[in-house]
Amino acid sequence: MRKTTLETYKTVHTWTGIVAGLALFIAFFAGALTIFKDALKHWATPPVEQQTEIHFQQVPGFIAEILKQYPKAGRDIYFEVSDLQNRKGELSFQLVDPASDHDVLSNKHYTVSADDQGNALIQQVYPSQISEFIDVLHRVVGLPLDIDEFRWIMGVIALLYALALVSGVIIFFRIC
Amino acid sequence: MDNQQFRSDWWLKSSAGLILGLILGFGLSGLFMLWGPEVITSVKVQFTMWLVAPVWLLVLAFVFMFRTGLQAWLWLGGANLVVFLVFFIVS
Repeated sequence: MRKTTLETYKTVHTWTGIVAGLALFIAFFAGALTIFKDALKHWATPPVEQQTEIHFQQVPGFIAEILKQYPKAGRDIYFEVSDLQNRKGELSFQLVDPASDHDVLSNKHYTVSADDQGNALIQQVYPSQISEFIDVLHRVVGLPLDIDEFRWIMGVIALLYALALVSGVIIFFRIC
Repeated sequence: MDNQQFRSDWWLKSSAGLILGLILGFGLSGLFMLWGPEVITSVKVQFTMWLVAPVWLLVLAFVFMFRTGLQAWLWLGGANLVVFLVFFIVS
């Protein structure tokens, strides 16, 4: 019995590996890079010219101005207070297309600076999408669209990964 | 039953793990919702939800230890029956 169970788990390990291996490589590699998503994005985006630093007292007025011009900005307004990434005093917001089904690549990004009179100057910016692309890649196994059906495929791959892990441990320690 | 010969029964065992494992996951998460510690509701709900996947995957991973596919279906089916009976009686 012992030997046959072990053979069974060797077969499980082999076939889950054959089916899921390539997809897991994509998910692991792209997922590991995604840990550095923000740093990668900052590194790959050219700096906005003539960006004036915004003072804390100006922020409430500017946010009111954003909401007046773009009521849909809603909860996606950011003000950077730490200087960890050299973006201290940066006021920005994004517009999310509700029909995009969490497809972050279609979001529109804006930055806010102060003009000469101290009024809010809203400009659309185009941050590098490489890090978002890598993030999406690891959620849809490299398939071309960021849609739920493809995320489900990654879910099945993750299920096979669990099988491969447990069967591998069983084979390695010969627990059965 | 104990001396029964080992059979691979790939389809029977895999389907038992996939189907009954998932149902058992639902059942056990239901029991956790009933008897789990009283913590903040959102934490408890999250834990209850995430409990399904590990139970399912562990059942699916260890289902191949059963000697035959029929045994897998009977044992897991029985476990499901017990869990759901307890759940519906208590709740």
